[in-house]
Amino acid sequence: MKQRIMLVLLTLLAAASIISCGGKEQAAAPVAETQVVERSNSTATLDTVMDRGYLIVGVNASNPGFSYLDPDGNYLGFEADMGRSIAAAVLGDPEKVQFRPLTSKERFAALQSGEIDLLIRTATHTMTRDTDLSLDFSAPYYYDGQTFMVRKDSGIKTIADLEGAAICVLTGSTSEGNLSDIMASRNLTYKPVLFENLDELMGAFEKGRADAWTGDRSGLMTRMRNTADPSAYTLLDETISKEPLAIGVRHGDDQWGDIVNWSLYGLFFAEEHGITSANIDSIKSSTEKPEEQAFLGMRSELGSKLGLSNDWAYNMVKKTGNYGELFDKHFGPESGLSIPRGFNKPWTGGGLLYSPPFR
Amino acid sequence: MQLTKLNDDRVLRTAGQFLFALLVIFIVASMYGNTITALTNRGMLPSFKFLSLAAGIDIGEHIIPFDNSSSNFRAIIVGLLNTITISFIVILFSTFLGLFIGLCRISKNWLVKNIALAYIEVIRNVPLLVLLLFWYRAVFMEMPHIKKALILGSFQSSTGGKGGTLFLSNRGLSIAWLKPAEGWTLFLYIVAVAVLLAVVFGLYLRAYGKKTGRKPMVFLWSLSLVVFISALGWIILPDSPMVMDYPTLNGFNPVGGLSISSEWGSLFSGLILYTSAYIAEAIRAGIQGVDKGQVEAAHSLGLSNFQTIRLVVLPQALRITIPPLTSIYLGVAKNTSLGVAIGFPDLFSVIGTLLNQTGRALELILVVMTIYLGLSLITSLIMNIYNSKIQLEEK
Repeated sequence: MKQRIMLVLLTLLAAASIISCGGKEQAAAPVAETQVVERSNSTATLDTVMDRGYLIVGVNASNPGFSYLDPDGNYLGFEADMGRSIAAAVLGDPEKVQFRPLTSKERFAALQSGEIDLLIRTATHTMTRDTDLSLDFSAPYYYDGQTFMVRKDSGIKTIADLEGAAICVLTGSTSEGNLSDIMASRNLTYKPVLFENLDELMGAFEKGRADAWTGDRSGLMTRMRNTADPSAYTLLDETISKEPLAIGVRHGDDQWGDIVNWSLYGLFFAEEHGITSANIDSIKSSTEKPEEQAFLGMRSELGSKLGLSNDWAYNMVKKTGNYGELFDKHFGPESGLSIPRGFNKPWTGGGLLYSPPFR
Repeated sequence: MQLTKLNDDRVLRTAGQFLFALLVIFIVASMYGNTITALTNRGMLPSFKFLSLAAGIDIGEHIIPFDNSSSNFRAIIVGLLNTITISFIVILFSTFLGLFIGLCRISKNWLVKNIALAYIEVIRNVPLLVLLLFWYRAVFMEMPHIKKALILGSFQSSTGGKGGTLFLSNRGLSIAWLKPAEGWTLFLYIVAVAVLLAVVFGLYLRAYGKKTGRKPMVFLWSLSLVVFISALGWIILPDSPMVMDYPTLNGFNPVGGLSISSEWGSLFSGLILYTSAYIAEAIRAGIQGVDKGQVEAAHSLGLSNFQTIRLVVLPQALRITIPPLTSIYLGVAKNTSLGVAIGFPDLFSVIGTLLNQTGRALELILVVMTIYLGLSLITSLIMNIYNSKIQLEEK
């Protein structure tokens, strides 16, 4: 008996001493060293990705058009393919990517904690998220805006008609705040009905639980097609918010932020210059334009400035296509969605996609 | 000398406990230190400043006023009040339903007994979330559309809309309800005076009872006094203290009266079914825990069946039932958080919204954990006090 007690005591002592040492190490790291830690963090993402051999991207698992799981367990959609483009740029292979399905609530915490390398999940770039959450955002990859879906026979034509209405919102988005702000600024009363789950929301909305459903225009368009009778619904013309959807990365990792941003610019640039996955080889062999030559890695060694190979942009466009190809594939007429390009076309065509020069 | 001390059981035990406490402190401290260091490195040190900032959201159901400019803190309070209200009402209703089913369960009538048994077995073996979704999708959402709402006592309201005593649609239930009117404040004063008088009268009655040795029914008399004076006040006041508020349908939703949303209704119905099945089993355990001899003794004393249950069985069964009942009650407050699945804005749903609006995940999770812990501790404190009161006083 006594021997056993002694044994327990000794084990406890040993455990306590180990823990206390661990604790001391923690305590010994003074706050002043934070800077050092941060700097070592700032090169970490690229190194981590290279060492790991694949990219981890946070996406949505059920947003048709943007990112969703097919029955075979593959991630499809515009955002998923954008993740593949960046994998092609960084690792030379669009399939060297692993997707993490995240809810809107989880997404930022997953990025902050380092569980994912980048977040491509319809995240709106806002000032609070940029500063308060210690995140950085790329250039917007999709310009969206919030609007309302209503029944055609409801007689609702403008936001002013929504006085006293019940309005469905999917929680965990900027939509709730935008809705509240617009209704308050116009002195309209309404009753929000918040759902966590899209299926529950759609079921209730189609049964007439609410008079309107608010969300991003692109999302509402794709989801309207999934209703039992898409022809019964329509979207209001008014747009109540700016939703620049951007790729999220951790704040302070400047190199990684540059890589993500310039990969995106590469997709814009390729479309602007008519470089597609089909014609990229012939352009590479024939182009006389210095900027295109630099872009394709034939001069200036732009890739190495990012810490990548010089044919990074070539790999990306060759293997996954330019921005326009991605858009048409997932939102264009052949996708069955037919979302108009709106602002999401190159500046040369009157859109907002504008790549800084590749030089 | 040293050896003998080390061999002393008491010393060893104390030292063991001391070391164990140390171990726990070290683990907690290192976890805390780790969290703070990691958060500082990421530039996101916890801060609760956001609580006083405007939330910029709306909440569908609120007991206290809430709008776009209300603070995050107020949003949490609104959610908390929603959680507390529905928990309280569910506990109240499911206790009565549970008692009834529990009594049916031990009935001698074969049909009654087996219906109760089937109810308990089915409900207890279906996950609560499924029950809630069933109520929401299959019951409340299948009710008529608002344009075809079931209306009782329909009339044309002066504002041009349609009025009624009761509106039932898949948006919820609206019924006519009393609403404070001009005379309300005055009436409250009268009630206050009545209560004061009743207390004085009650004290007098008690003194009278002590003096004479007769036991007047103090509570009953005082209560009747309050009711009598209040009723008198209601009648003689020039302005009626309360008026009937009828719901009217003018635009999209009925306005006025008392309205219960489909979400509230589903959560309420699902939780009551679920909780009462557990309570029924606790009650049955309590009653069957009372010795058979007690019932036989009561019968042989000439007590009727009802008297036997009320005076002999239930008081003893209660003692056995209270501890399991406490854990069932504790579960109710926590189970309301499933309301988030069917769109009810309870505490958890509000926290989820704030979490996304402010990005303060760690802080808000801490807040919500503290609140649920607090709710549970308060519930169990109340139940423990009650438990110690009804325990057998050993003499």
